[in-house]
Amino acid sequence: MIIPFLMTTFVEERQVLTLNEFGNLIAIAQMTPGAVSMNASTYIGFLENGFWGALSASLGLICPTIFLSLTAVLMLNKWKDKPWITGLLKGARLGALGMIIYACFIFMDMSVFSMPIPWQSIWLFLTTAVWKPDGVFFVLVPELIIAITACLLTLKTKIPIIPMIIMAGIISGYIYS
Amino acid sequence: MSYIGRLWLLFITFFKIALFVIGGGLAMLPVIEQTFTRKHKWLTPEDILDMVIITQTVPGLIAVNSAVFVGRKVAGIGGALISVFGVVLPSVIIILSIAAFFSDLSSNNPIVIHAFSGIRACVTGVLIATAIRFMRQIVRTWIDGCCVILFSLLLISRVNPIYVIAISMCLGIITVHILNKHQIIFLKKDKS
Repeated sequence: MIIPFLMTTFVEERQVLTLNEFGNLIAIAQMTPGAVSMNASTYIGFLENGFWGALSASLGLICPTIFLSLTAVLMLNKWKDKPWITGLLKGARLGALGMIIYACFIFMDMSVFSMPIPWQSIWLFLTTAVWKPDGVFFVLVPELIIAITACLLTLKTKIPIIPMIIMAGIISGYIYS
Repeated sequence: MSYIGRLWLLFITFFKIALFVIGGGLAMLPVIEQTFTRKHKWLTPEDILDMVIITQTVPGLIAVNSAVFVGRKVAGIGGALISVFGVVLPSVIIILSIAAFFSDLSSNNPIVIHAFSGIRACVTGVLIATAIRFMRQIVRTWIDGCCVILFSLLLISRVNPIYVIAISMCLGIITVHILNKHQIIFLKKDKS
């Protein structure tokens, strides 16, 4: 949501960046660690006004978020023991769990499979028995091995996750070279 | 652990999350769960799910929202601020150094691309493990399980998450209050 807003503001209205420069900027923001919108805003701030521009852009981006989520957390804490809120939270926790499972599928789409799981084609196959996938769908074996290993290690052992992630990156880059 | 120790752990954990965990949003969940629930027992699994609810419904950056929630739970308002600082700092440092030293960064280096795909695969596996762990801890009856499957199917068929959360909240209120009143208890009563 933030990226289109940045584009209309800085490319179309104020014209400090060309469309091409903006595309480059987004590519860098996606490649570097951290939230994409955060990176993009910091970069634009730097281009506009150097170090202080970068600092004020990132502060401007996080301040409303801090304020809103602190308010939400404090309100939740205050009302936690009200019977209505207990029921509401109980249900919403199951919803949140559903969201985590959905996120697992999204991540599998991005890493283990060659393309997003073709749910529509599967649904079409189940209802009309016509198999018409819109792309070549296959499993990337090295990525699958890494994912399964990471899953089992997290479930069965207490190995910290961040070193595991770094190792996966090194191994994967090393296999290629 | 002392207050300063807690603050330092919050800062360093969120700093590492922002630096190494690629994928944003829910990808940081496993690290938070491992550090603050399993290792230090400062948050319950329920707290982590409350965090997911808040980060998905309050507007703003998901990473910053999560940092505020976890920081406040672990070390009050100061903890919230220091966690946000930790999650934001890597972006600022890296972007500033890129902007200052490399004007044109090529993203076509095959080794880098492969390293990134390895990292994404690892994050996927870890996230699945966390989902399984949560299923074991939160889902107590088969009705809970059916609800979770229903919600994930709704999300897969591209229903807006806000509606799914709204539906789940309504279902929660109905099961806990109306059915409890008539002694038809679906959800096991909490200790609270």
